[in-house]
Amino acid sequence: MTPYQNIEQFEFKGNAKEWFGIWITNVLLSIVTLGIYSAWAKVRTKKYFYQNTYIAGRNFDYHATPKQILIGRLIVVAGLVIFYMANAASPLAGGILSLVLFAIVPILILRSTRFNARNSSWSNVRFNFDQRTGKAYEVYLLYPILMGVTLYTTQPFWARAKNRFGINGHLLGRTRFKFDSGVGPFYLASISAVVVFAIGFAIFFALSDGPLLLGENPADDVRTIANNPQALAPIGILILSFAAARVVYDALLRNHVYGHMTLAGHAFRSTVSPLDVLVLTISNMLMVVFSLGLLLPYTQVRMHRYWTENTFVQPNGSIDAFYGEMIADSSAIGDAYSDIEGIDLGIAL
Amino acid sequence: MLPEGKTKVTGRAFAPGSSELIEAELVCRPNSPELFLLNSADRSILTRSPRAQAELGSVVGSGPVNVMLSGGWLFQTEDHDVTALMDESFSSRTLRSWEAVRPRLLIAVAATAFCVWLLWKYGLDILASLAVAATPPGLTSAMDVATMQTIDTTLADETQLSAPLQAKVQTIFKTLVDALPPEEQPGFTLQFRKFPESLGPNAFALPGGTLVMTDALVGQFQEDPDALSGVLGHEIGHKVEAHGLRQLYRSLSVYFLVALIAGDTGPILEDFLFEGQLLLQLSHSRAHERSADDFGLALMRNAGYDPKGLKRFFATLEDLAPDSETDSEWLSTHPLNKDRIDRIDAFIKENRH
Repeated sequence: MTPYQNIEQFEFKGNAKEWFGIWITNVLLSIVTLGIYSAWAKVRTKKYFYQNTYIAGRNFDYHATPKQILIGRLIVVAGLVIFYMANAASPLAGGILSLVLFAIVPILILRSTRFNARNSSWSNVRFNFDQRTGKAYEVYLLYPILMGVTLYTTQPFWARAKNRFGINGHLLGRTRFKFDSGVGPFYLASISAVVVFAIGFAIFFALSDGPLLLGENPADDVRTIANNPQALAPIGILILSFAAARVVYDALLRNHVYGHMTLAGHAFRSTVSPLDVLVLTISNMLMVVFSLGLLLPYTQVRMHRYWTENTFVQPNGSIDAFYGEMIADSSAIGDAYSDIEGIDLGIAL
Repeated sequence: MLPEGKTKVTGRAFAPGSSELIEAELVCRPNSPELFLLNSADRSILTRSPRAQAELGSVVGSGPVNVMLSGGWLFQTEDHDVTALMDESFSSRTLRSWEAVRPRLLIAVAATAFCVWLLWKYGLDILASLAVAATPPGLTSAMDVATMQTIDTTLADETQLSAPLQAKVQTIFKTLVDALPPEEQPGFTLQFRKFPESLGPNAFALPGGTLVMTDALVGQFQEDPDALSGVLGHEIGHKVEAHGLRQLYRSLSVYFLVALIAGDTGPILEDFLFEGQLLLQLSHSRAHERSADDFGLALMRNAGYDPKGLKRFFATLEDLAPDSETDSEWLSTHPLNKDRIDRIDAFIKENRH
């Protein structure tokens, strides 16, 4: 029996044309309602991508209601406005609030992940997320501090801890996902990223002819660029190499993490290539910029399709055997916070 | 439209909480109060559900449609006739018909472009005005105190101007504030600080009405009360028109709107969006500078000062740090000195008659 027998590929059945119509309507209604409709838009977006993503002939689904999302977003926006104002009015109050916010980030990440898991399903079975709060503090507060103390040399341990926390915390129905691996591949991913960035930085340094930009006086930089637009080229290379480093890191980790993840004996595979992802990311960005945003839906479908086509499940036994109750989760505050501030679990999926 | 006489759709069924996929048919006869879910293989009844307790899931695009039946059974189908059988709501049908890709969608594209422009041009200002009106004066004066503390610890030293010179400038300041409408007068104070030389002759206004002048500015123009009154009038204009607060609220609103509406744009693009809007904000900053110039000119004239003073101020600035020939305005927070001088000339000319 070859190892690739019966392997199931993830599949995305949506298309850019149809998604464009939904997306532009989402944007229009969100603007007209000054952001209120964005809660409905989020649900339609998630539903479109989840419902059209299949594995083994069954699709995913998203079940949060716009009302939950809206309430979460209103609370978070109000909270952040108060936070910014307090910060402007009193550095002391702002400092205390920053510490409070910093201290509750692990809880927000936990809640956000749980909300998303409980409101997602595959083949009619809901996901769930089950991890202790103490563990969240260990992974999102203690580990980062240790990493800082060791000057980032232990970053791969943190990356592994986040993936263990995130994946081992997820369940499909009552069945838990499992992930574990040595730390070596995490070091490999981080070092590869550093090497890519170092190469880019060396080119930047050679081209920029010494400290041309980012001098002490920003006004001088502005003048330099205005007189001499090609001075931006080294900066462009710097940004590009940063993006490339990130893409290489993400792609290597994704392949590794999927390869070491199981669900009730079913194994996963990811076959993304860093070069493909880099070309996709950059061409997508250029398309969005030069179409003034109108090609964004096309680039989203393109990216999503690439992820799905490079993700596989190797079943081991029946996939009909999952079972779980629906657990209602209506507290979307963590989810809204992660939408606005862009924090997430930091796992490589 | 639903084909005549169609009463059933084929698809897949899932028992409550189970991942097992069963090929199935949903039978909804018109006028029947009950729906039947049949196993396609052996025609056995999987479940029956009162029509009133069966719920059509929200339909997005042409993908699969869900029907949730009583007792937790799920029926899923690609056959969109189910939406007619299940009486899809009017709002859902309307939304879907607008989302459909057809020539009419061009209207939505044009409307979106127009609304983005409208929001940028007017909407954000209206939002900012509402927020400014809702900001209690106590908050803005607290912001002033906090900002001054930060400036004093990081940047500025105590003033080295002589007491009589300070008093002289304070008198000009008071004359100008007294020329304001009474409801605008509270909150104004003027402070002097010695800043690093690179900042040169400079002044700024904080949202609560605290104005700061650098020693370099007062020193340079100590013999020219008209120039000082021009600068003070300009800064008073910033406070009265709440320019600082407006820019704060504007960038907050843009931040939230971009985060919420643009959604998932991918990592690099998101950074570009936030930086790009900052660049565009600069044009607003320049509009505010011009508006404060106009306000200051009117105020200094009403208080009995000569608007030519402000012109002399900008001429001196131009001598100290000339606008270089290639300097383009769009990279700057302030309009070019020569444009500002031209506007002052226009103001003087207009008010001569």
